[in-house]
Amino acid sequence: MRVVYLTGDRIHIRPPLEADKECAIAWFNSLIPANEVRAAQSLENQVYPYWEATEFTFIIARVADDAVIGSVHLSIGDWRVVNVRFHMAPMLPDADELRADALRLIIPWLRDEFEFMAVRLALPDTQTATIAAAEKLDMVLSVRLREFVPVPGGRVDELIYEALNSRWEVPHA
Amino acid sequence: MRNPILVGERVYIRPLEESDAQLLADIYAAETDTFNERGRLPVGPFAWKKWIVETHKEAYPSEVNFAVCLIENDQLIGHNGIVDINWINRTAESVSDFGPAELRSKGYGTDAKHLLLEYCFDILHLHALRSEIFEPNTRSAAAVTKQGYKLAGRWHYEDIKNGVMRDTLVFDILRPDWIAARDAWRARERK
Repeated sequence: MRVVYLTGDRIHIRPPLEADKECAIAWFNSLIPANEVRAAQSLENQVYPYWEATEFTFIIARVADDAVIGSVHLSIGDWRVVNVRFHMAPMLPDADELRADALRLIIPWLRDEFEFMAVRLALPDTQTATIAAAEKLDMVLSVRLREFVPVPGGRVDELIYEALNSRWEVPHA
Repeated sequence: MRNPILVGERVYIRPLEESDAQLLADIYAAETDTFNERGRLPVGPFAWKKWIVETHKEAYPSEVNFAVCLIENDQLIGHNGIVDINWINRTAESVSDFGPAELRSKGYGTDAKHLLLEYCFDILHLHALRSEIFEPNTRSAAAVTKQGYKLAGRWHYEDIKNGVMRDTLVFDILRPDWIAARDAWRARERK
């Protein structure tokens, strides 16, 4: 399955499929491992009723072989603001670059097509390729939370980038 | 004092009980400020009771809340707590809500906040907290700054107020920030 408007050169983003429960470690965003039962429950909970949903998980897969390599979770606040979180499969050598690819697909879709006022992305300050992609997409660094993310041997800052939609014409104080 | 967890200079914090539901509803019903959020929302005792029951069911909940009471007469004057607890990252968001209006700006909120931060940093051993304050609420922004929080940035376009989009200010605090602010506050209080 390919979503034409969410397909790039190296990765594509699609809705979850039932078979994805078999590779939940790659996309299920939790440090506590999810087995097939938990993964299946998660998939069932988010698909119906989709017109009332405000939380969505989409799968990130590789174009070359359709291997599942991560997920992107959207948490929507009254269809004005959306929070984006990525999870990449462990042990991917190029996770940061692939996440950056996914961001390049996600931001134009949410900001320019859906016209969200703000698209927010939280990430640790070590994800340099994704940060570079965010800045190239005209996202602004809105929040830096000191030492919010544990990493091996210490902690790093969490950054929140926002893609602000200049097409909104409401006055901003 | 009734079932205190931590005791400050003039207030103490204790678990919220179902019997607090009506008192919290009364405090919300008497709210005089309109700048905290988009608008005031009456919350009845049924909703408060349900919230109190639900948030005490889990051993590792996503939120922990306390009743804030005066030492002198056990009067419930508000609640504070932490929400969005991340037990793995050891982070959370701190929240506070005080009333009645005549008891504000007397230092009770700061006294209670230092107890909450002691609970977070020295009992739960959380590493960092954040606080989110709607920009028009300048009183709360000034309060958390005095309590040791540092401005971390802003969520743009968070909500509407007086016909224009307003942001939410985001603050963070680490244990050394809190210790420095608490010690300075205690020195002033005990003069």
